[in-house]
Amino acid sequence: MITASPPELSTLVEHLVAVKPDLRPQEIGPRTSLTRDLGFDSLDLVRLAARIHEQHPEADLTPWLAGACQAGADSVGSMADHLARARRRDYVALARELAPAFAERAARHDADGGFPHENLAELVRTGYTAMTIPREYGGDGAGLGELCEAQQVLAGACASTAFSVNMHVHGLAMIAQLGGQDAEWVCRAVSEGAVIAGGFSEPGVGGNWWHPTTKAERVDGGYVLNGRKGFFTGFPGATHLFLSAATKDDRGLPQPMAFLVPKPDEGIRVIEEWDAAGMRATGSHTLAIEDFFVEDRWSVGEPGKLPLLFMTGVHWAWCSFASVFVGIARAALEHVTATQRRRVLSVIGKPNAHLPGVQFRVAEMATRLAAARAHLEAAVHADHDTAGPIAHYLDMSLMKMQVTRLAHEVVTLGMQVQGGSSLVSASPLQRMYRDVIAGLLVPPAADVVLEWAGKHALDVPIFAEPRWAE
Amino acid sequence: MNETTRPAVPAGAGGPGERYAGTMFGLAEQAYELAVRDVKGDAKRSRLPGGQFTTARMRASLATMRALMARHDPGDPVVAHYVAEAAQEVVSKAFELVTDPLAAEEMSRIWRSLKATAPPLSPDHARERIGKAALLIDPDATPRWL
Ligand SMILES: Cc1cc2nc3c(=O)[nH]c(=O)nc-3n(C[C@H](O)[C@H](O)[C@H](O)COP(=O)(O)OP(=O)(O)OC[C@H]3O[C@@H](n4cnc5c(N)ncnc54)[C@H](O)[C@@H]3O)c2cc1C
Repeated sequence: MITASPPELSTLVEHLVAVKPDLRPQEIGPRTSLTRDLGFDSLDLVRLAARIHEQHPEADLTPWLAGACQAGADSVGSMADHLARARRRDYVALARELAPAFAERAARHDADGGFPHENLAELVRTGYTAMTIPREYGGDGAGLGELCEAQQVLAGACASTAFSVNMHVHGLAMIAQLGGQDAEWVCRAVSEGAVIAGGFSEPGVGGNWWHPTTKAERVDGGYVLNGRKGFFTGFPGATHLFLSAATKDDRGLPQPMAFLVPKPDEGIRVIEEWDAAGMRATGSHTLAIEDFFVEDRWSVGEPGKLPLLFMTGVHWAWCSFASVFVGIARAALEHVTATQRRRVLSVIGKPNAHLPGVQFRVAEMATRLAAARAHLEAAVHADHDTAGPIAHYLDMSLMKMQVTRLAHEVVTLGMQVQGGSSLVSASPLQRMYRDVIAGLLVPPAADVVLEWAGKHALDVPIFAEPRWAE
Repeated sequence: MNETTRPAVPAGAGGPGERYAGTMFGLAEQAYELAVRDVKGDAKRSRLPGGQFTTARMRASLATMRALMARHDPGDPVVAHYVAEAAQEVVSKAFELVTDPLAAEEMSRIWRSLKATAPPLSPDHARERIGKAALLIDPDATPRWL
């Protein structure tokens, strides 16, 4: 549900007073009824609707007026909500608008491995990067469903761009859910154009993100960080870095922490540029963190709470990751069906789409894609609040594992349908093939998911030692 | 709805397919529960990675089937087609995990029911329908193939 923020309410009150100057603004609240408490008759309501429409042509109040007055639910608050909803940006539509230009540039960025700065600039300029700012911080508060659908559209056009901005949009949503000062300043920075990249993976740690080896040493006024980060997607375009590191608690035990810092000029440097088979335009460089001083104010959440924070908000991470790979699979199926309907081998004389083998494989693609989409959608709409953190984490992780596996199968089948031409560099399918495999490699590590989910189902304590029986 | 999500048959026409998918899913769920009970009954075996990984794979597969049945147009043959194949995989994995003779016998019954329940469309027919729908080919057009 959208809840109108105070600025919308106060704007609405101004409109009400303009129509009926004898009203006292301080007596108008969200529960005040327009007809019963403020005495608006039908003529006043028409004047109000016309006035609002003049200033906000995108907001049509007529359906609200008809429904609300009939049902006796014509509160000022519900009208403000209606306006907020009407004025809100549709991020899936925005992704569709941006996608064609991104698709056109995708092959070039893939070929030269350069970061798609112009795509990111467009995403910032159009407000896409602000989509997950909650309404209480002045944003549109896009939910997980909208985020995942929009990301699928972008990924179908340029998977590297979608994957890079994914680190930002889901990371922002997770920080915002913390509330308080952290959420407030981050949302403000993002609404002013900040872009976040996140580094939890480290060469010696791999996918075990809850065990950072980057050290955070307590000093006066903050921490000094030293360590290495791998796969830092989106680093070239980021203005802020979301980093994990471990400090020591009173007993000398490692305490994982998170920091969100403005990208510094000193203390962090690229030691290896991203040059990979897939997701080539993500700028996922390897970084060295060297005596990097981070002020206290940049730490996010309480020390030691990072794993719990991540587990409770994990749906933002794993669903959005999965959506990128579903987006690639959708684009692959669309590409394959479109070309097979057109392609005619002269020895056959009719489009390939009429061949039984092509139809059977396309059927397997469509079936797996439908299963992947359904599982992702079920995870997006699952109850994220009441399941225990472990059960929730496992449900989301199993979904990500299944969905990325199915997406990978869809694209692999697509290569077979398309034949040898799918392998040439001019074919977008070979790029999708190299990009979609990243889905199997990004967190959570499938083997860890299988271990934890199996133990959980078999009532074996997940973290007991020794880990397995002999 | 774009061409890749277009159901191969109209919504609501999926009665037999929906029932069939439900039956296949139910059998897979029974097999999973039987296997989990069997492994749990042996403290050492439940602490071995093999059984844990297989259990998790079955669990993941059931979750995908459940989601597809709940969220996709039940009239689309993709539902029965996917669930039938995935259910077979689950039952086959579950079979590998049971050691108790009574449980193995029950598993044989589940396997036989799975194979003996006739699908509304044969797998080949389902593939043809689904493929032709995705490729925008009239399923009744002749000649049927190239
Ligand atoms: C394109 C791309 C972009 C990425 N972007 C980011 C990013 O922006 N930020 C970020 O933090 N990370 C990012 N990652 C990194 C990703 O998190 C790593 O792939 C992940 O950390 C796994 O590390 P690894 O690939 O080195 O594999 P490892 O984790 O080293 O795994 C190697 C093998 O060991 C197994 N294994 C690992 N840990 C365990 C365990 N505990 N128990 C049992 N088996 C285990 C794995 O299953 C695998 O078979 C990105 C990865 C890719 C591919």
